[in-house]
Amino acid sequence: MSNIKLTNEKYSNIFLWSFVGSGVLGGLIIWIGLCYFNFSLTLVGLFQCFIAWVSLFTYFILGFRLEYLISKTKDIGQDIDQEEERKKSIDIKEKFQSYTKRDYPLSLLVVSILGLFGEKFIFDKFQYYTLSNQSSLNTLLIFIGSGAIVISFLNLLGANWFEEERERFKEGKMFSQFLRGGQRLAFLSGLAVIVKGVGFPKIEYYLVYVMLVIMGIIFLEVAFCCSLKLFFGKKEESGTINFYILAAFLSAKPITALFDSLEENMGVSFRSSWIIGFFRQSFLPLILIMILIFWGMTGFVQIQPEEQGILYRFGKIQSRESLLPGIHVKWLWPIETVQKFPVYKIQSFTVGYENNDESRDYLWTMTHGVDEYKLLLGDGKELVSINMQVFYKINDLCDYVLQFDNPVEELKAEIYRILLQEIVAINLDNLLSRDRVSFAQMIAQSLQEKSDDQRLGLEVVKVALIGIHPPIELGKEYQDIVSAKIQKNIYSINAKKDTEYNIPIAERYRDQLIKKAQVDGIDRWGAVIYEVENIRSQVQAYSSAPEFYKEWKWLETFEKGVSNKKIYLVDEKQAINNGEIWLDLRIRTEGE
Amino acid sequence: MNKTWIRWILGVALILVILLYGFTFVLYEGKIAVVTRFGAPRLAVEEAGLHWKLPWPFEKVFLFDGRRHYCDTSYVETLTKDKKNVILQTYLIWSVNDPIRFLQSTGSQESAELQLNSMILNAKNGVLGKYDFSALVSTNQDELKLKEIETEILSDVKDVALESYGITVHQIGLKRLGLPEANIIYVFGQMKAERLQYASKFRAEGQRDASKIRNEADVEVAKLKAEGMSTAAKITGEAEAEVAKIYAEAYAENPEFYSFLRKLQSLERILNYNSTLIFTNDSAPFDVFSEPNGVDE
Repeated sequence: MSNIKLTNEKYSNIFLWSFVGSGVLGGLIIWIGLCYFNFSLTLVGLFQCFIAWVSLFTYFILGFRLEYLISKTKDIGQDIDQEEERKKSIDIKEKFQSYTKRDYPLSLLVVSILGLFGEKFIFDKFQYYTLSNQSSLNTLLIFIGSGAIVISFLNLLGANWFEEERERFKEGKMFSQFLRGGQRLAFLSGLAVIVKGVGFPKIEYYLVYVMLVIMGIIFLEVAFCCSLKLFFGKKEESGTINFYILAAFLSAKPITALFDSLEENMGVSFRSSWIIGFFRQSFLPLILIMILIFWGMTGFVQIQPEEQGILYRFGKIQSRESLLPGIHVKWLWPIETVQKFPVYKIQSFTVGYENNDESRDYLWTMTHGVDEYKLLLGDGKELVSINMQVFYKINDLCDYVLQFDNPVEELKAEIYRILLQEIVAINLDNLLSRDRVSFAQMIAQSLQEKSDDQRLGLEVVKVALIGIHPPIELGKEYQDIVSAKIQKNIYSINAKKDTEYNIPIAERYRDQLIKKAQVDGIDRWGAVIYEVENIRSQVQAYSSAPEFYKEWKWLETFEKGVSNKKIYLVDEKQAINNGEIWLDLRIRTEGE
Repeated sequence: MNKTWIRWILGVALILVILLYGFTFVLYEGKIAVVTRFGAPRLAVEEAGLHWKLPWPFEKVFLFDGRRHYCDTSYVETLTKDKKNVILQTYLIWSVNDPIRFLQSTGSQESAELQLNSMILNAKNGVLGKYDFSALVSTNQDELKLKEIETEILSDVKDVALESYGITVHQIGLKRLGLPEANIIYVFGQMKAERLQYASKFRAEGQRDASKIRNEADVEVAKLKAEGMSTAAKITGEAEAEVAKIYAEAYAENPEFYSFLRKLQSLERILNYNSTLIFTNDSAPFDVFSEPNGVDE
């Protein structure tokens, strides 16, 4: 019991310190890698951090195992009288098995996936920088590279120690493999940094790719094996996970290591297989033949339909005649090399703003998400945004290759220069009212002349004027002008609408007046005629008996006139108050 | 035995490759190489092809791009002669003329472009100080001096670049001309004000046109109404004249009786329900009551 406890405690301490040491070392290496923009060193730092996490999880395994062993020893040494002790023992066992079966592989799976993401992040960050940063001889880099090799040596020592301890300590073999991986990577990184330091940055570039592949394979295999253990793992009392490719990779004899690993873990010998035996015997010649085939293939070059190629012999162009699409035979690399260019392809670039959206709606009053190119106009107080798309293709491959390091950028600069010279002499109203087709043609013509003068080897196929407009900041005001113009029309239309309503109304009124006057006149005439005819008939009656008719007529009218009216008769003989007559002529209301 | 031979062949081939790599270098078209021996520049190679050299650390090859390079210079904010602030960006086209001097003075394309950028910034400041703002932007073509400015900046830089850095500056072009951010805000302000002025003008014109149309319509309406009233009055007058004529003709037949009838008619029209009539008892027909041979009496 005491021995078990001591052994576990010893390894627990080793793993705890391994976690601390590897973590600190990993962080330090990443920091140095980032400071000196060193891709390979950052990768080693990442792997060292991975080892630190594996140490930590293994440390937990050892802790659980120790607890489990102590409880198990207690079970053996004492009678199981005490129920609580027994239950506790079972709990610890379940906890330990759960950790080794589920939590431990899950932790490693997560860490390996994180490692893959970390690798991708580092790759994205450094891939453009690595080649462009071709620094010359650098003592500091040599110093850093030597440091990486020292780290490699430390990893090797650790790996050997764990390898020796594998009999007494189950996780030793797996951990030894990881450390050996760290050793290889650190060595490669040290080598890469040193060769970069002595002036071969390209070798570092390729070594970094080798490191990326190795690390990728390690992380993928860890993720795969952990997933297998998670789903099909037995209730083991060990956190060991078997790796096959990793073991082969890290061995000096990869094929032998792979067979050993398979035999050890699966219990089946693959060495006896005839085919495998054949391949083992033929491995070196096969590799040599494959290398020769690949080298031989460099004697052929295939030019794609849109391309032409330039043939270099020891860097010298053999002919101004370029290689046309099809297959061509040439001397093997490195005697002859071919550089291919998309000569037939019509390419384009945008002047003004770049719009990455595939649908590409060109709405100038809406924000484009990118800054637009604004030109100061001729009156010095107005700005305009111009967007163009220039379509071009390579028309002289030799000029294209030999005259400029970047002919397209030069062409782009020329178009900006032409635009500037055109725009500074014109004001906004004149520019906006200019014939845009001829403007685009003029730009294309000037650009072609510049391209020919500078021997850019480019043909300007077309210049498409996407838009000339005031800056987007003024979009609202320009829309307001359009709105105002529309509003102006609306005012007129409303006024015309009112007019077209009021005039017919007035005409109707006029016609009504006239018609009414006519009707009134006719009515009046009719009434008069009626009246006159009536009078005539009465005159006729009157002429036959004048006095009688007159009196009769008078009385008739009197009857009509006085009926239903108040009548006062005054006796002329009655004299009151000196002959005056008093009459009560007040109006009487009903009921009085 | 076979394996031993293969190993020997491979070993020799590997050594040959390493030796070849150490003793030669390939110079591609468009590139220039400077070979240094223990750090001292020994020769410049401009012809493409396979060239010999001693292996590292005896000799080292520095490769440069011998083609023309394009690069943008930094934006510079400077004052013109008439104290106007402008931002100017230029570009330049340059190439390595003297590779050994280039190696000694700068050593790399990036470094050379930084040096050239500084020189051009200085030249731009100096040259723009000699010209008015109208030399850069003007609707008057005669005032524009863009090509003169470019040529002057180029001549300021060209000789120094060649002598100090072994660089030939082929061209300097004005790429972008702008105003400082603070001025841009006011330029936008001014452009906005002008556009608002246009908008107000259009609206006012619309209101004016509408008012004009309405006024003309009002006049037309008034005319129509007046025409209607005038025609109606004329018709009424004519009718009245006809009536008067008819009345006159009727009147002429028996004026006395007509007058009597008219008076009766008037009385009939005048007397209404509220009229109060006062008669003396001897007036007709009430005089009947006073006569001695009356029915009641």
